[in-house]
Amino acid sequence: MSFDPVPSNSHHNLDEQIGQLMQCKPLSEQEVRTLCEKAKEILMDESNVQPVKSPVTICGDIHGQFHDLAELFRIGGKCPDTNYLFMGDYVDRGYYSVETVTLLVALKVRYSQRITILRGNHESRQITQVYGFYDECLRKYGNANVWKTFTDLFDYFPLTALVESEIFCLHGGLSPSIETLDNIRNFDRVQEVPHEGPMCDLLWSDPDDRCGWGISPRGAGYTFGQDISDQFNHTNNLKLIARAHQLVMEGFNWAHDQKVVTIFSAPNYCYRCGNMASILEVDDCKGHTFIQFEPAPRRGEPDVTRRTPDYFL
Amino acid sequence: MKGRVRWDETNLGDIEKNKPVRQKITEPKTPYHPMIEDDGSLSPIRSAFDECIDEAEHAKAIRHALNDVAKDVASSSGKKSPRSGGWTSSEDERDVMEQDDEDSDLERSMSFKELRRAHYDEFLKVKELRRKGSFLEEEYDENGNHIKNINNNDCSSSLSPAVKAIDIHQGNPDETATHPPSTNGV
Repeated sequence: MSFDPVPSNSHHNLDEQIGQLMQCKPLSEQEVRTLCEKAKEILMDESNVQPVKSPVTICGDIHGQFHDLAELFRIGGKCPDTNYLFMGDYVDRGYYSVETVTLLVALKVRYSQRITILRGNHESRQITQVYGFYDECLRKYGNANVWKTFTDLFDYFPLTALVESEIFCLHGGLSPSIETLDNIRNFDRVQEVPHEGPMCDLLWSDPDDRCGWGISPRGAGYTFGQDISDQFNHTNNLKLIARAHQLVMEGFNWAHDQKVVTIFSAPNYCYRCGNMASILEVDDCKGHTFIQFEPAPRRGEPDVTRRTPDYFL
Repeated sequence: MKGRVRWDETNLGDIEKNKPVRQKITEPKTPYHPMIEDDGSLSPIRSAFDECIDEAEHAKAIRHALNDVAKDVASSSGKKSPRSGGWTSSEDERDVMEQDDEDSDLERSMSFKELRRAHYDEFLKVKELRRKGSFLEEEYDENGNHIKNINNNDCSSSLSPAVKAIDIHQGNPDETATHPPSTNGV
């Protein structure tokens, strides 16, 4: 497990690239291609239910808010000093999807055992054509090659992770087609996110106050009630389902009698929602601490008044 | 206020069933736009309004969000679901009344949850664009090279103009940070 896929002579290059990315400067198209080839080698060996050890810090949606990701690392600790588990939605909505996803992939290649990057519903060819990542790639590179390179890589991202056999982490939620973690381990994930079925559900579902399964107002995935979470956690000996996928104003939100928690790590989402962000630290003794944070003020981006009532518009 | 007006539901139903397809008017709304019915049928949202400082702004925000969702759902093959069904038409008063009765004790979070629900319409939007054939197709030429072309069947989709309007330059990415990104694809 301590196998390091990158020979040390290329660490220097990679460290330089990470340094550049930390300043919010994108890599060249060729550098992105090389990076993604290496990332693919690493990710294809990971499981659909990737095992993760504590201590680890679990993070939710980032959505191209690069400077808030930088703030997250300031607050949670640098990678690899802190181990990280990101639960998807790195791209779209924000201004810096390219820099954000490139940095996370570079960290994955450099410190593959220290950071886990799951797939979110936005790590998809179709969604990124509508919600910003595709346009951003065209604008920053003059063509769609980088978009193509990244969306091809997204197919390899693991769908879920399991921290110390007791915290099940994924982007969206449960699926009526999935009873056990072994069900998830068995399917072929290397494909575009389907429009229905278990793989789609894992990336699209939401917990709900209502019991049982419900049709999701999103049009994909399902809503699932506390009875479903109880049963799933019991069947799989889990203590907690940690997921992202929904804006929550405090940055984290318990549901289902603390069997499910939503973590959202994009403060002032879309530069206008006025929400806090949070990350969940799971320590050596499996203790849980939520750390909330706000956007770091900076030039060049709209300084929207916090706590505006028109959250989304 | 409540119950002051009684509707002849049978008659309304008949009219609804028999009404002809009408032209969709896309002009901007007039300033006066009573989204909430006189009988207070959207009372959970209305009472949330009461707590807000700027009611008019809030109503406008919700109206836009709901209109967007209603447009999407209505145009996506008329699929009905227990919850999205309520939003297939912003005029469908009865659906709205039936919606989320059990949430009435959560009035304070209603507004937020409704807005959030309206915001997360990504799949519906993609579904609509897919229907119009607006997405890049996985096409390969004889040499196996990927061909990247937008389908041209529908240049009025929200994607193609967006792509066309992109100012391609190799500049500082900070220059792109002059306009807020679209959150609802509009």
